[in-house]
Amino acid sequence: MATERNQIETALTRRYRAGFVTDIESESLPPGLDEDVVRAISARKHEPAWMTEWRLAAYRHWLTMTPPRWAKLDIAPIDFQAIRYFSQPKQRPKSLDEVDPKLLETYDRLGVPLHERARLAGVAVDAVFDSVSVGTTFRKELAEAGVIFCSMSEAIREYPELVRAYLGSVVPRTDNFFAALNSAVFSDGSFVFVPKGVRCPMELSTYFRINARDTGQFERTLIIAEAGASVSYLEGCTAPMRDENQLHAAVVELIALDDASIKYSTVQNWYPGDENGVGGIYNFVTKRGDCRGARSKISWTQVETGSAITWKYPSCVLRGDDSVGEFHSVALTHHRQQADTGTKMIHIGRNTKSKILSKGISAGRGQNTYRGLVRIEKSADGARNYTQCDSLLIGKHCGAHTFPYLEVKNPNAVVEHEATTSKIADDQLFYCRARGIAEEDAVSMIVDGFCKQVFKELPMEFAVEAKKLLEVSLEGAVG
Amino acid sequence: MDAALLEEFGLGDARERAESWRYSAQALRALGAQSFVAADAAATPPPALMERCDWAETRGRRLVFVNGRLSAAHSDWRALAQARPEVRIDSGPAGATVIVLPAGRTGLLHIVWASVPGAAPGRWNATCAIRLEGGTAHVIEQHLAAPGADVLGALGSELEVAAGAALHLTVLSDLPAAASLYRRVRATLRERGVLCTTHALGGGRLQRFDFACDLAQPEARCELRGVFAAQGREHIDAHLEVRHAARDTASDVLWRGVADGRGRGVLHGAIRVESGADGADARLQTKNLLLSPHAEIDAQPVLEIHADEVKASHGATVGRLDERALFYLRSRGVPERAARAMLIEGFCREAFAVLDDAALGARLDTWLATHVAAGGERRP
Repeated sequence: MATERNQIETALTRRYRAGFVTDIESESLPPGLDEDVVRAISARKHEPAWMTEWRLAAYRHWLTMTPPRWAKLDIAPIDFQAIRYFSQPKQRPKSLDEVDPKLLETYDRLGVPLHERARLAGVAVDAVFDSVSVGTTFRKELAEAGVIFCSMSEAIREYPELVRAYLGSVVPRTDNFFAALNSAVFSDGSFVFVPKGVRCPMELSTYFRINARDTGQFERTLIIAEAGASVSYLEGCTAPMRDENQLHAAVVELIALDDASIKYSTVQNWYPGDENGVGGIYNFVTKRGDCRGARSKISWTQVETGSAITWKYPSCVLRGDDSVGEFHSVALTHHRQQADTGTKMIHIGRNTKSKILSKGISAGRGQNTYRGLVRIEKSADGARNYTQCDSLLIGKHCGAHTFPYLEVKNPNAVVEHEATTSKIADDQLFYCRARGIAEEDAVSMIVDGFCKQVFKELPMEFAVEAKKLLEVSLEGAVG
Repeated sequence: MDAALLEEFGLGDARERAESWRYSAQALRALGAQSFVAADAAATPPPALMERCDWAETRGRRLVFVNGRLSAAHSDWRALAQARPEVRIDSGPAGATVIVLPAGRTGLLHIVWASVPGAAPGRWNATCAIRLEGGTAHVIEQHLAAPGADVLGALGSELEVAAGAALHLTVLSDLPAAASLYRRVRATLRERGVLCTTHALGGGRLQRFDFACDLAQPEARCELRGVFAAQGREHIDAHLEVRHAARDTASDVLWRGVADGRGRGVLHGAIRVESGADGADARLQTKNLLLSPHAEIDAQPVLEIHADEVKASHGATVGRLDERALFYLRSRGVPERAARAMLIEGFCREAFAVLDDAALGARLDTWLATHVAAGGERRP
């Protein structure tokens, strides 16, 4: 009897495999937010005065703002004074060899190649645990190529002139409510600088993990690709299972100069809450890329399976002539998850091109919204956009919504938008079942086919991971 | 005043109002900054205006409203009054006009909304309900205004289509630069009810058309077609919303938009499928042409789906004239201006294709020539 129960429990918890808590000593600031907290965060990170002032200015602006509510989301009010804005593992390691083995084990359990395994995978990883970066791999190899890849706190100390020149230049600290909050209290994140003409020799990756209770994670990522440079960056995220909602409000800024290209991939698997919508992460993120140079290219790929609420629009400002923006997305909502996600493509330069491919899957009582803006400014002669967004419904109680905004001010532009909504057809299921494929497998096969165009944009290891994630997330969606 | 106008014209809470007037807020604000007096309902429309609605095919079946109030002197409904069963024109609460179309073939009904400005900028408000009790009917709604001072009309309507009935509605608007119109229609379709609309919207300082169609009972069906053409400094905003609230309902929306000069055109087309409205089949297609570097088009096709046995799709494009088609015509000796006009007209006419009324077809052609083809003509 006991073993049977164990089996059942294992089966139940299997849904969110990253839901464990690492018992590690951490030191945190008490919950709450005021100027002293902002100063304390800045002081703990030994930041220069200009950075502290920058944060304070953001905080003061944030005080004047109210949380936006235009999204098609049902958000329980957030008590910003109940959140701990800073938490870090007590022992600060000097190198990866000194990192608390428990922490390494955490990343090991999550399948993140932090140590020797990293060599096999050939991916440089920056791991962010709660509020701070705990280690970055392959530093030396990258440095030889001239690539800077380190945590944001380190970058502020070591490369202040670079950070100062670019931080907030794509997402100003006054941009929106959550970006302002992030600007005030951001604790860490990754910094990437690829100098002129350099092709980054390996994939860069950051792994975000929220561990401590009542903490919010506010990371800030800044990626700069100078003229002719190129880089591919991956991001993964998980959190323990807790009954309270936790806030994650990140800001990501990408800057591509002439002929540069940045590829940014995300596999987001924050804890989604349970079947009844208890707990889970609020994932309210501002991500924006600036194609500043001519012929530059920024490509976003995201697979969003986690979070109780996902609210984000990775965007491209196509300023440079002939620049290209891409957005590929799979967003899945199951149980009571909600997602309002999409992109913004702002065409300013001549002959700028953008492509949007969005696949939304709704199951259970999930609500999935695509919201996308395509704006063609007067100056964008010859601009071109193509948008396709498809929704797949699994079950009677879910919702799939599409809110595109097409704003065209140039008569030489061509903008196209197409959207479809369908469910998994009975004949497709029947076909698979008739060939001995179990219903769940058939569903995941069909879903996989539905998402294929997006998965093929992901680096191979991530594509496999994403496919597995979808399968796990969809468990129990049919039957 | 501008906040008051938004309050008056917008539905829902502040956020919904802001979102719904997203692309027309500026135009509305400009109107709101102006002060209006109540427009004179007893004003006499100039003969030139009356000529434009004196259609031979609708004599005896015409209602003319001047500045929002039914004018017996300018209307002519002899044929309607003699019809058996009779078409009833009643007064509803708060000065509303209620038109009841009984079951059976009622033929054409021509409703003219004429705005006649006075010396100072004027405003009028009106409500008008149309109930179709059975059979088929064809209603033509024409919006006209005499040139002169600014005039702002606000007209709300309820359309009811009974079970098994079919209503054809053709809306033709042709306004001078000083006239603004806010038109709100809420249509409700009962079981197997059919509504086919064709809109041709042109002219005006601000024309806002809110058209909500509620497919309230099983197998109701609507086809919404239309064209907006904004030139000069005209601003036209069409807000279409189709709600599938019952099983096996169908909707098909096809709109064309053209913006030239400093004109601005907005098309918001939303399809909402409620939970339980299985078997819904919804389609929306909008294509738009931008003809001038100072014009703007904003398209917002929206899908909100809460059921799973559904077919729903939408497509929207904004682009320019097809250069290859233009080249083809020119290579066959068609002068560039005529070729442009021909292509633009052809583009718009797709939305008029369902009409099989020759006389009305000719009127829509004239409308096209005034509001659309001129864009081709003006080009060097």
